[in-house]
Amino acid sequence: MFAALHIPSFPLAVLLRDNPEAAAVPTALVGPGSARGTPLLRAVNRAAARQGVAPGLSTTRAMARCAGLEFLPPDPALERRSQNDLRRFAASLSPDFEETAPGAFLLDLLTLPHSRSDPPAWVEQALRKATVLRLPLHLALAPTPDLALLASLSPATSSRLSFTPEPQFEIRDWGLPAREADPEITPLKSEITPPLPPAFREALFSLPLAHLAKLANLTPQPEEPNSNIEHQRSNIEDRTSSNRTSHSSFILQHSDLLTLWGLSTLGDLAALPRQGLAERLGPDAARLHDILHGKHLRLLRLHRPSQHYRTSRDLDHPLDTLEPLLFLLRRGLDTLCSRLAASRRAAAAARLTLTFDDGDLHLRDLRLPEPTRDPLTLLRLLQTHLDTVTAPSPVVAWSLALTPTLPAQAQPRLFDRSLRDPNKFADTLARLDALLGPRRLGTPRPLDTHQPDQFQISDFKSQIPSPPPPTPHHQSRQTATALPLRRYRPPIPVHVASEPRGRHHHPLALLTGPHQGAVTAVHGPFPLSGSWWDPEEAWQRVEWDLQLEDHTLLRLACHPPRNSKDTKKTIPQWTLEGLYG
Amino acid sequence: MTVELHARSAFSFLRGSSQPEDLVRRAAELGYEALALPDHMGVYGSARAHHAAMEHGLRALVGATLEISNPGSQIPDLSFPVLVENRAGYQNLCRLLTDLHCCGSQIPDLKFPARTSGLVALLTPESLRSPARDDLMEAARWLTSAFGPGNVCVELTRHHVRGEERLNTLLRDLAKHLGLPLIASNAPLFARRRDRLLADAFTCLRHHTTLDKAGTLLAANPERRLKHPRQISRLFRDLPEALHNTRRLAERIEFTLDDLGYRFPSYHENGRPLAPGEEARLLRKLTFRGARRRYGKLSNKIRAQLDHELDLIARLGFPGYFLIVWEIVRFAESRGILCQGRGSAANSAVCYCLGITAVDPVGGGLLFERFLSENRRSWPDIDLDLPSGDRREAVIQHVYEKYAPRGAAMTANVITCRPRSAFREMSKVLGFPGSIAGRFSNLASSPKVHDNRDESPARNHAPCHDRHTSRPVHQGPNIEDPGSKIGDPSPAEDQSMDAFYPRGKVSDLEATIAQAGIPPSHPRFKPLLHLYHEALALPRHLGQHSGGMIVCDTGLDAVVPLQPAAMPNRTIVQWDKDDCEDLGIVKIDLLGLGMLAAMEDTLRICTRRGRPVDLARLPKDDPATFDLLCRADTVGTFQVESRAQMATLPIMRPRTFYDLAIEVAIIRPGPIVGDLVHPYLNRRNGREPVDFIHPAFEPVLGRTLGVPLFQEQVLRMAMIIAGFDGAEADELRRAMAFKRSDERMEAISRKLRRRMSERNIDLLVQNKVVHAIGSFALYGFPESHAISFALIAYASCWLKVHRPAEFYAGLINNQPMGFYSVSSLLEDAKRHGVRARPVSVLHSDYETTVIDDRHLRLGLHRLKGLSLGAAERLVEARSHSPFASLPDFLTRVRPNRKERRLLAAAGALNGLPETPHRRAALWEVEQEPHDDLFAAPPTLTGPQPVDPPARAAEEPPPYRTPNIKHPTPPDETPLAPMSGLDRLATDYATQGHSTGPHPMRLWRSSHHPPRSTPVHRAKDLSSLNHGASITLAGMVICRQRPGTAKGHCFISLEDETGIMNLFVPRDTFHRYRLTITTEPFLLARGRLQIGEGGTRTLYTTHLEPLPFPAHLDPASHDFH
Repeated sequence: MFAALHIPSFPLAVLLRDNPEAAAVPTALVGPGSARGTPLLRAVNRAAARQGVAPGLSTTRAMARCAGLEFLPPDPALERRSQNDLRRFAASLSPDFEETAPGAFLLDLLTLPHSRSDPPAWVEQALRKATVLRLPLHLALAPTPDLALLASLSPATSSRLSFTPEPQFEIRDWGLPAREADPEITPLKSEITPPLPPAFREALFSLPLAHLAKLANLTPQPEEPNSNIEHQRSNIEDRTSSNRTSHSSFILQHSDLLTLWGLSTLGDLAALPRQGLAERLGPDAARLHDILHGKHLRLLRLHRPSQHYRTSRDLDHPLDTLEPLLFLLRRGLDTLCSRLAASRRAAAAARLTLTFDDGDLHLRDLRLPEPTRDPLTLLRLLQTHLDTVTAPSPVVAWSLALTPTLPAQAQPRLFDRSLRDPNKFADTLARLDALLGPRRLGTPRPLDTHQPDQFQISDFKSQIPSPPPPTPHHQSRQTATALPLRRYRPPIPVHVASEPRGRHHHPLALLTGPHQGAVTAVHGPFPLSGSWWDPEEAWQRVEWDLQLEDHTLLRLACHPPRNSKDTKKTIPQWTLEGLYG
Repeated sequence: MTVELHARSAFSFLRGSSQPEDLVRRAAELGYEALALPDHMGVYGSARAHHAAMEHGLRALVGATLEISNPGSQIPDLSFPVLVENRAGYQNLCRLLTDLHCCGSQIPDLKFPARTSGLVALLTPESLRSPARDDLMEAARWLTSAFGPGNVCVELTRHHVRGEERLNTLLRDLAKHLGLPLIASNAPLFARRRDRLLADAFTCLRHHTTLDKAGTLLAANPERRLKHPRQISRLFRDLPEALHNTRRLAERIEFTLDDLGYRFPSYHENGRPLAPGEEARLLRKLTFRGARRRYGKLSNKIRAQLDHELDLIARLGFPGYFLIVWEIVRFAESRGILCQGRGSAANSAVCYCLGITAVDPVGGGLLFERFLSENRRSWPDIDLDLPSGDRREAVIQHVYEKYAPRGAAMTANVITCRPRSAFREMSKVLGFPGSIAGRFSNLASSPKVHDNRDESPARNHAPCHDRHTSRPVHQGPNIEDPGSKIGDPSPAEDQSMDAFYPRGKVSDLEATIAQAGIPPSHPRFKPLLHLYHEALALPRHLGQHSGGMIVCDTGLDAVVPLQPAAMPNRTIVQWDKDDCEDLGIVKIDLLGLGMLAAMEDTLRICTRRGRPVDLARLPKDDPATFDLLCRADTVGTFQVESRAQMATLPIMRPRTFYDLAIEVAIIRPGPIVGDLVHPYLNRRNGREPVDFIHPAFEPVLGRTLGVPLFQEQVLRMAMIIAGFDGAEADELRRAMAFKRSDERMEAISRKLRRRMSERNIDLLVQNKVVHAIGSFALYGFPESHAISFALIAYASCWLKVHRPAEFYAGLINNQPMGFYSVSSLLEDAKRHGVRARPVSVLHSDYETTVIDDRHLRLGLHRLKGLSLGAAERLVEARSHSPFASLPDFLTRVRPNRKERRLLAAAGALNGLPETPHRRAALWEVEQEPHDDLFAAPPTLTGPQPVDPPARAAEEPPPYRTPNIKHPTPPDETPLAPMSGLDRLATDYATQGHSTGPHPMRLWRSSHHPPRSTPVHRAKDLSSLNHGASITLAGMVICRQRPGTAKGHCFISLEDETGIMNLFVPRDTFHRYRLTITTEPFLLARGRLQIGEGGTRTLYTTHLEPLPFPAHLDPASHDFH
C-alpha cells in the first residue's frame, strides 16, 4: 500500500497561504510563457476559475475574461521553504518516502502496520497532523505508487484537508486491501497487486485523461551531486526515471490523438485493448495501461536525511590567541573531511563563524579553487584568513561548515594553461584579499564601451583562459594613440581657464593640479557620449590632448553638467585623466 | 560651393537614419549646393533625393556604396562609395549593382574600362575593416586599376574620434604616393544631431544585439550628421586642397536623374521593332477591327471618338505602349486567362476596342482626358486585372521572357516600419522582453488607435481621430475642414506639427504601452517612445509591388539596378512605383484579383456542366441580380460584400448598372471622410435638394446628383472653376495620388484657391471645392475604375443568383480571398439551398466540385496538411479502381502517418467498407502497414496477369497492389463514434469549417437561457421593434474599426440563421476591448436599431465571452 500527498497548484497555494486577500479575489499565477514569449497562466484560484479563467490561458485572454484578475509571480524561495516543511511532514509519517515533485510525496506504508490495519484512521490522523502546514492537501491510498499519485490529483479520489478558514477534513475509505509485508516479494511482478475495489476503480477511472499528463509532470527531481536519495532496493535496477520520462513524452506526443479517439477519462484509456494500444502507440502505451489496471509497481526513490558537514563548538574558556583556535579547527576539519571521504564528496567552500565574547560575530565564506577534502589545505586557507582578522574580544564559540560537491576528477589537459597548485594560488589570493579588502581583488577586464577607463573586476579562476580574439570594434581602441597613457585613478579634478568655441569649451591653461601652466598645443575635442537610453547611466564628456609649456603631454576631460541644455552658460567640471609618455 | 559626396540615407537599410528628403532639406537649409547619397548597394533613395533636390534647388548626385568580397588577392572585403559622373557611368553603376545582386558572390570583373567608365570611386577610412597600411595600398591600387587613375579619390573624415588622425595620415601619405586627390567629407548617416539615437538603434538591429550589449558598435558621438559648411571648413582648414578637390569633383559630376535615358520599348512584329509610324498604323488597324467586333456598325460618334483618341495617341508617341499592352492581353486570352483593364484606361475607346477594357466609354460618356490629354506628357496608366495565383504568374513570366534578359522587372515596394514592427524592434533594442511587444500587438489590434505617427506627415495620409473632438483629423493634405473654416480667409497651410501628432493620440499610445507592461515611470519609457516615433515609416527593407512591371527593350539594368525578388524567377528594380513614375519610367500593372480567379473557375465549372456563361453577354438589367443587391444578399460577391456595403445597399437600392458603379465608389474612405455618402443617399431618396455647388458644375455633377464622387468630376470641376488646363489637372491628380506628398497637395490647393479668387468665386464655393478635393486626396477613385469594378461586381452577383453551386465552388477553390471565411461561405450557400458534402476519399477531387445544382463536394485541398502529392496519388489510384477497403486505400495511396490521421479525423475515410465512423478509421490508421519481405517487390504496374487480355476483360483496373500487408481490420472498433460536438471541433481543426450543423446550433441545443432574457437569432431580428433590448450570441466572423469610424467598432456575428451586425460605441469598445479582440464567440446585449433600408444593428452596451463546449478557432476577418 502506498500513500500519496499532493498540494494542488503548489506554487499558487503557498503564495495564497500567506496572502489571504489574494485568496479571496480572482488570482492567477503567471508562468514563463509559451514558445512565442506570451505569458501563460500556470494556476488559478477558485474565484478566478469561477469567472472562466483556466490554467494555460494567455494573460491577455485571461484579463478579457476577468478584468480584476490579480497576477502573482512565482516565489521560488517560498516554494523551497514550503517544500522543506512538507518534507519534514512526510518524514514524520513514514521513514520510507519519495519526494516526487514540488508539493507531491509518495509514502511506502509497508512498514506502518497501523496504516494497513485501519487506513481511514491513519489518513485522518495524518491530515490532522498536516493542519500546521496551512496548505490544502490531498492524501490518497492505493496499491501502487502511480495509482496513489493519480488518485491524489483529484478530490474525488482522495481524502482532503482544506481551510475555510478553519481546517476541514474529508476522509474517503475505499476499502483498499493491504499489501502484505513480505520481504521476499518481487515488486516487478504484477500478480502481487491485489485487485482494485470496484468503487475505487470506478472513481479513479472517471478522472479526466488530463490527469495522466499531470502524472507525467510529477517527475522525481534529478539526482544532484549532494543528493541524499537512496534507491529502495539497491540490487534491483531502477527504471523509475526513465519510465517517467517516457510517460511524459508519450502524453505530450499522443495527447492530440487520444483526444481524437474521444478518450476523456482514465477509464476510457483503460478500456482499450492492451495489445491494440501497444501495436499502435508502442510499449509506453502498454505500460500506462498497466499502471491504470494496477499491474505496474515501480520503485520509490527513497529520501534520506542529508549528511551535515558542519561542526561547531562552544568553548569552555575563551580563546584570545590564534594557535589554540587553529588546533580546534584542525580537529573539526579532520572530522568533516573523514565524513566527506565516507560519502565520496569533497568541499567546494567553507563557512567559518566565530563568536566573540562581546557577542559580535565574525562570518566568512571561503571559496576553494578546487574541491578538496584535504584537512591541511583547508586549514591553510583558514589560517591565511584568520591571520588578517583582528578580534575585538576573545573567541567563545566557533562553527565550521563545508559545502559538499563531487570531487574534481579531471586530469589536467596537455595544452591548457592551468595552475600548478590551485590551492596555493587561492591561498595567495586570500592573503591579497585580506590586505586589500573585499571586492578589490580580481582580474580587471575592459568593458566594451566608448566610456573611458571602464572595467570590471572578475574573479580569478584556477584555469586561466586564453585571451579572446579581438573583435573588429576594438580596433578603434588599438589605434587610439601611439604614446602610452598613465592614467590617474581616480582622475584629478583641476581648474582650467577655457573659452567657449562652438559647442565646447577649449582649454587655455591649467590653473590647479599636479601640472599647471599655459596650454601650448591642443588636440581635440573628442566628444564622447553614451547610454543615452538610460537616464541613470547616461554620460557625456569631451576629452582633449594637450601640451603644456614644459612639454608635458596630458589628457584632460571636460564634464558638462547633467541636464543642462545651454552648455555655454554653465561651468563645466574638468579632470586630469592622465599623462602621456 | 559646399558639397557632401558621401551621405547615406535610411535607404541604406539600418545604416542611415534619415529619409533622403530630410537629408536634402537639411542640406538646403545649411546652404549646400550638391549632395550625393551613395546608399549601401543601391540607388534606392536617389529618386526621392532627386525630387526633393529639385524642390530645394540643389543638385542630388547619384552614387552607391559597393561592397565587394575579396576583390584582390590581398584585400579581404572592400566597401567604397562610387559616384556617377555621366550617363555612361550611371548605366555602368546600374549594371554593376545588378551583377552584384543577381550573381551572388561572383565579383564582376571590373578590369574592363568600359564597365567602370564614368564612375568615380572613393577610398574612405571605412573601406577596409582593418585599415593597415599595406591593405590600404593594395585597395587603392586595385581601385585605380579598376576605375582608372583619374577616377579614384581618397576621402578623409573627421568625426572627433581619437585615433582617426592616424588613419587620415595614412590615407594622406597613400594619396601622395599614388598621386590621388584627397577629398573631404563628413560621411553623414543622419541629418540632425538627434537622429543619432535612431542610428544607434538601427546599428543594434543590424548586429542583432541590444543597446546595452552593443558597446563600441555604437557611435561614440553624434558627429556623423550633416554639418554646417563652416564646420566642415574649420575641420579641414589644414587641408584646403581636400576642400578644393571636393568642390572640383562635384563640378565634374554632371549627371543627375533628369538624364536617365529610359525609352519605352517599341512594339515588335515578327521580331522586328516597328517604327513609330508603323506602330500608329497597326494600332489604327487593330482598333477599328476591334471596334467593329464591339459595336457592330460604327456610328459617327464612335468613329470620331476613335479618330480623336488615335490621333492624340500618335501625336504623343504612345502607339507602341498600347500595342504592348494589347499583346499581353492577347497572350492572356490565348491561354484562357480572364483579363480586364481598369483604372483610367477604361475611359479610352481605343482600349475598349482592343479588348483591354470591358467598359464602353462612348456609351458611358466617360472623360477620355482623364486618361490622356495633349497637355499631359506623362504616360498613360493601364492596369490589368488578372486571376490571382498561377494564372497571373504565367502572364508575368511571359513578360519576363519576352524582354529577357534583364528587360523587365517588377517595381519595388518599400517596406516601412509599421507601428507593431517599430514597437517590437525598438523595444527589443532597449532590452525589453518580446512578450511586451506581443502584448502591445494584441492591444493594438486596431491600429488606428494610436498610429498617430504611422500616418506621419511626409509618408502616410490615413486619417485618424482627435480624441477630444471625435472628428477625423486630416494628417495628409492641408485642406481645411469646411465645418470649422468656412469664412476663414487664411488658408490652413501653417498648421503646426501638433496637428499631425495630436496630444490625445500620444496619450493613447502611452496608455497602450503602459498596458503592455512598461509604465510611464520606467526609465526607458521615453527613449522607447522617441525611438518608436522616429522609426515609424522609415524604410526597413525592399519588397515587391503587387503587380507593377516595367519593361525596356534596351536593357532595363542600364536604367535602374535590378535585384532578385523573394519569389523565384522574379526581379525587382530598386525604386517603387512612385519613384518610377516620377522619373518617367512606364509601369504596366498586372494585378491579381482573387475574384477573377474564382469567376474563372466558376465559368470553367459551368462549361463542364454544359451550362456555359459568356461574361461579355451577361444582361446588364437582370432583375434577379438587382433584387439580390437590394436585399444585401451579397456574401461572397466582389466589392459589395463588406459590412458597410451591405448596410448601404438597402438604402441605395441599385436598379441600374451605373447605380452599382456608384455603390462601389461611394463606400470608400474618401467619400466617407468627406461626408459625401449621406448627401448622395439623401438626394437620391428625395430627402434633400440637389446642389451643384456652382451652376457651372451641373453637366459634370449631374449624374451623381451634385455630389463629386469621382476623380474625373473633381478634375473637371478644377478645370471649370479655376481654369486649370490639362497639365494642371494632371498635377492635381498626381498630388491626390495615394501615399504621395502632402506638400504637393498644399501647393496645388493654394493654387486652386488663388485661381478661384481671381475669378471672384464665392468663398463658400471655394471651400466646398477644396473640401471635395481634399476628400479625394487620400483614396481618389476614378469613375472608369468604379465602372470596371462594377462590371466584376455585377458579374459575381449574377453568378451567385443564376449559378450558385458553381459560384460557391469557384469561391471555395480560390481561398483565401474576400471578406468571409469558407465557413461563412458554406453557411451562406446553405441559405441559398446549396449544401456542401464533406471531403471523401471516395468522391472528392483535389478541388471542390459541383455534384448538382444543390450540392457541392468539398475537395481534398480543404484538408490542412494533406500534401498535393498524396492528393494526386489518391485521385490517380481511385481513377483505376475504387478502393475496396481501408487497407486497400492505405496500401495504394500510402499517405504518411499525419495524413492518415488527418483523413480519418476529417471523416474523409468514412464510407470505405468496414469504416463505419471517423473513430473506427482513426483506430485503424494508427497501425503501421508492414512490408512482406518475401514477396515480389512492388512495381508501378503491379503483378502482371498471366493472361493480360483475358484478365483485362474481367478486371478493368489493373492497378498494382504493392506487397504491403495491412492488418485486416477487426470486426469492432473499441472507440465510440464522435459526438456532434466532436465532429464539429475536428472539422474546424482539420478544415476550418464544417459541413455539419453550425456551432451556434449546437450551443443552443445545450444552453437554455431563461425566458426573461432570451438569446435571439439572426432571423428573429426582422420581427423585433426598433429600440428593443435584446441579447444576441454568435461566432465572430468580422471585427472592424476603420479609421473613418471615430473609434467605434463593428462586429459581425454569425449563427445558424444568418449574420448579425453589432455596433460597439467607442467607450464600450474600450471597456470590452480584450473580450472583443480575443474571444471567438460572443454574447452581446444592447438595443436594436433599425436603420434606413431596414438594416438591423445591435447598439451594443455589454459584451461577454460565450463559453463554447468545444475548442474551436474559427477564422475571422479582423481589423483589415
